[in-house]
Amino acid sequence: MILRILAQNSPLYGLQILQELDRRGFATKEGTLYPLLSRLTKEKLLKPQWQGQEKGAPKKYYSLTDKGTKLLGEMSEEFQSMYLHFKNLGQGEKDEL
Amino acid sequence: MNSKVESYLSALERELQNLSTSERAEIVLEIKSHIQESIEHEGTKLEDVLKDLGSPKDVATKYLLDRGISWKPSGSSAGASVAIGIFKWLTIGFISMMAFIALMVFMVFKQFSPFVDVNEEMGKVKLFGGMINVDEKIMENFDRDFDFEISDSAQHRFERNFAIEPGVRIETIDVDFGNGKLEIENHLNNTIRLSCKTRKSDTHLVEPSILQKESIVEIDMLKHSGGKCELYVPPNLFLNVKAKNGRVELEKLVNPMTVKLNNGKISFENAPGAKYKFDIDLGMGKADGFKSSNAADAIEVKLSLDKGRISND
Repeated sequence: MILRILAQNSPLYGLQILQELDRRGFATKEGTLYPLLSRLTKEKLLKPQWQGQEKGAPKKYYSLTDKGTKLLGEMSEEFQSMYLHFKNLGQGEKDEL
Repeated sequence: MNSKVESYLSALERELQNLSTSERAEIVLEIKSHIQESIEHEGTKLEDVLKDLGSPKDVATKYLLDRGISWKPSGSSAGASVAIGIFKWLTIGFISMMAFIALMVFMVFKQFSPFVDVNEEMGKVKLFGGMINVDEKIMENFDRDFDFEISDSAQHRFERNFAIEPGVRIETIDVDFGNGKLEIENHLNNTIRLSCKTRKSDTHLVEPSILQKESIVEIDMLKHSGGKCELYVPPNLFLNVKAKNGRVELEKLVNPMTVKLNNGKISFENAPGAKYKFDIDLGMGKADGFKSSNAADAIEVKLSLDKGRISND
């Protein structure tokens, strides 16, 4: 889901990702999100970038890497096929009844 | 910056000690940024921001688990590594010590053999090629007066008298003594008198017998154990004494004699004016003070002892 959010609006920093997740019904704890972002960065799916602010602390912005974009595509296909599979399954059961 | 934030961040950094410095700094900086952003732009209270984040330990655990590093309670990982270090050095120390001991054993074999060297004449025992010298000091044990004295109430006394009848020729007195103290003195009676004191509780006591066999008087005290016996003998009879353990005191005797003791002390006191020709046979221990005379009328005294001390007082 994080990958999807970042594919649509990028770059975003931690707090913005948190708010986006919240808005889509995937309320996530701060203490969970940051380690997850860190892991995705380590797996080279996300590309972080520090940006200094005129006022306040610098923020760490995240955007998708090529690898991240590719994975998101694969996952979407996988999800689509699974969705169709389950849909057919449900259809088949209906036919049998 | 708020001291609460500072302490939260430093606690987080401590919990992340298994990560590299740069990773740690990056994480701390991001969390710091998050806290500031939440307060300044969202207007969230610091307490709520920290509460939402979770404790530094929880946050750090998630970071570490995501990296496949298992979380260890803070402090104990340092303790564990110290323990491993100590164990390593203990092992190295132990192996080195065993090697050192093996070397020492080899050197002891080489350097200090023979292990035991008994010098019978000097009454000295050399151990480990002279590293340990045992001489008269160890023999002081034999000098101690053993507890041969018994209190009056606990005493069992008995006496034996053997009168040598006129005309009967007696040449030798044979004495077989067990354990304890035996004092032998001359007296001018023509009797052999034996006076013993022993403990009442010594139920194994067999009272000595005095028997005459031709020219020999046999005194059998072999079964006698403990206590003290005084034997009075006429002068000039040959004394043949065999004793097991304890003390034999020969007091101003003018009898030729052979005295044999297994362990203990033989004391010999010269009779005034008498000359003796001594023959001392000592297994292990010390002999002292004997001045042998070569005079024709010297009395032959043979003293034999396996272990202990022979002295001429």
